[in-house]
Amino acid sequence: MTAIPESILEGCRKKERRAQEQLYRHCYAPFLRLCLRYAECPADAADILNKAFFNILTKFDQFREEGNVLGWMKRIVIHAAVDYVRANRRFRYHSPMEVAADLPGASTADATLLENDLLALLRELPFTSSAVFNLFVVEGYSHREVGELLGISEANSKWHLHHARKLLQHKLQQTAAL
Amino acid sequence: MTPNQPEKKEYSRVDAYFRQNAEDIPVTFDPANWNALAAALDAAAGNPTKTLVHRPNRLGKGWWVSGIFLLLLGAAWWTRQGAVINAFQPASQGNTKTIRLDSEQLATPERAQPALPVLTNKILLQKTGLKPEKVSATSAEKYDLPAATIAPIDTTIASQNAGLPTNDSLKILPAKKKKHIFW
Repeated sequence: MTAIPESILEGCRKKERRAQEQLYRHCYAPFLRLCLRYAECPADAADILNKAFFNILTKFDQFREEGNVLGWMKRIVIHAAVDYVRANRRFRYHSPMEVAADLPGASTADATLLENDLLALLRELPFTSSAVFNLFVVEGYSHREVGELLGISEANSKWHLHHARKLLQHKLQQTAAL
Repeated sequence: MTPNQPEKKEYSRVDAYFRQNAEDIPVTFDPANWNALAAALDAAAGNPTKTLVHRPNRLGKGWWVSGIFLLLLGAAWWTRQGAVINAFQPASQGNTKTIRLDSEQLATPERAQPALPVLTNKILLQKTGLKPEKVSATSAEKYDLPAATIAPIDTTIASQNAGLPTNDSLKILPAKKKKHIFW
């Protein structure tokens, strides 16, 4: 992600709507990708992103100048995604891949497309395992930090990571992506 | 090489695959998302969170001082009215306003409680069948009063003999607790 121009940051400090929109557009793609990896569907991802941006824009004056503004914003987005996972992790009963494959009109090509999709692979995992995999592997958090974020123990985080890796490896070998 | 090493190598390949492809997820900007966020920001700006309204502490120093002042004022008024003094006087004086008894009924000694049923000579003699000369002579000797007007001193014993309720039996007893029966 490219650096944010100082004029946009200054406008956001003054709560100018034009500058806020520019900031939103500037950070939209990378942060929505992040949200998509945690969310169940694109609509939920947009919802997470908007909640995170609401916090960012309303608390922009609380940001300390010596820190990295992008890192600060990313941390807020991750926390919003983790809140979503914690609120919804009990409600994932069917994986989208299984549902799509079981549909009467679903062809083999459709199923292959879904399986090749990275998001579809992640969404096939259990909610907590998927979140642990994202936080540990992609975001680079430690097991202690992951445990604190998700409200689980460090050992439980390790188990979820192992479980997620095992399932993903199995799926990727099936699709010969590796 | 330990047996876990091939597995770890496979896992590192899984991790690398996801790290590389995480940035390639296709995303298109949707203006509706920004419109929703702008509306939420407008709503938040139009209705700022309520600031805490300062309320005086009811247990503050001023409240204690004014409370003590009011208490002292009330006590002074109460003393001036003589209510405190009257409260320690015998109840018979205070109760004369509400209960009126005939002179015949009040022919008992001074300590008799007017609220309780008083046995007059007439009723007592009717119930017991005693001779009026004998009773009145005993009472007159003790109380130094005319024999014709005084009531007998042992009205309690006499009323017990007559099967009438005595002063002790008319005392208000504490209400018994209802027993809950669970079938």
